[in-house]
Amino acid sequence: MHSLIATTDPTGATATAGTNDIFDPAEALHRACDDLELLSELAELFVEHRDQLLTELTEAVAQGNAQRIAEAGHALKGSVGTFTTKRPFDLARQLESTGKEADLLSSARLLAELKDSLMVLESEVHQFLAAQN
Amino acid sequence: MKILVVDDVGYSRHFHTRLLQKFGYQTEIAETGPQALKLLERDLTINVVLTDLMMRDMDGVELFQRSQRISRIVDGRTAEPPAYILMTALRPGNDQSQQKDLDKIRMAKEIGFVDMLFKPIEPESLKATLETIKYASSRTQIDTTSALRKLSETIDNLIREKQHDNAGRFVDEIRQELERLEAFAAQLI
Repeated sequence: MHSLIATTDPTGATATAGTNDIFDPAEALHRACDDLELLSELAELFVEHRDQLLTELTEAVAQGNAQRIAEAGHALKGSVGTFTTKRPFDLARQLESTGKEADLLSSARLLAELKDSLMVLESEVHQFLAAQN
Repeated sequence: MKILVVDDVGYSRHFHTRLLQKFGYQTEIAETGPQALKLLERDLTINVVLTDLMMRDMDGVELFQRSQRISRIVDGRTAEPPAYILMTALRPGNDQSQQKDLDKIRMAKEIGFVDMLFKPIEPESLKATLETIKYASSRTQIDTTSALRKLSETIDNLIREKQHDNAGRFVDEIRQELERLEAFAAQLI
């Protein structure tokens, strides 16, 4: 689970896996009622949802639209929470707060960190699922 | 039991619907509060509404309040309104920007939400809440045994007193009531 992998996402972020503060397999399985098939289904949906929301967040930060940052951060936090309540979840929560407080400088910084963290999360989720099959 | 999931975030909607299906429940979905209201007006068999708090256009608390005005008359009787469960990712804290939303959570408890569940939801908590709702609704089952006993005693009295005319009228009245009950029972099949 801790192998080093570099991945790239459509919005240009790169990430390196190899940390245990990102994905929590036990928690993710628990939230999916120990159903691997359901977890796999949710993982696919999550990737789609994540890409959509990251695009929205990138645009919102560029436009300085604090409300949109808060809403998209909130939505992303919800989906990340299925897989982990560790770092990516915390970053999404912080990003939502910066939107509510209209702290756009912090929004931009957090978004960059979140993108990296989410790439690692996706990688670790897929590694976990592949290992179960 | 049929459950309506209301959430304007597609992933969340899908996740909670799949959970409920895994627990064995029938589900309906709505993306927004207004859409949920339309569904609730059309479908009086929805027993539970699982709604997110923070949604654009209409939040979960407003959905609950507006849905109380929906007419629930079926065959001259009022159908039981659905039980409402609120979902939120908010947690009490010192962040003043959340104060308005936290006030809504407090209001939700006062106005009649059965439960408040914090995201990411614990599947066991959701399951337990739904079991509680199911149990509560089964406890309000009408006592038919006493009614049958009373009916039987009345028939005994009519026969003993040889009240033929009264018995004939009573037969017609029972027949009408039975037809009404059969029509209702047939809806559930």
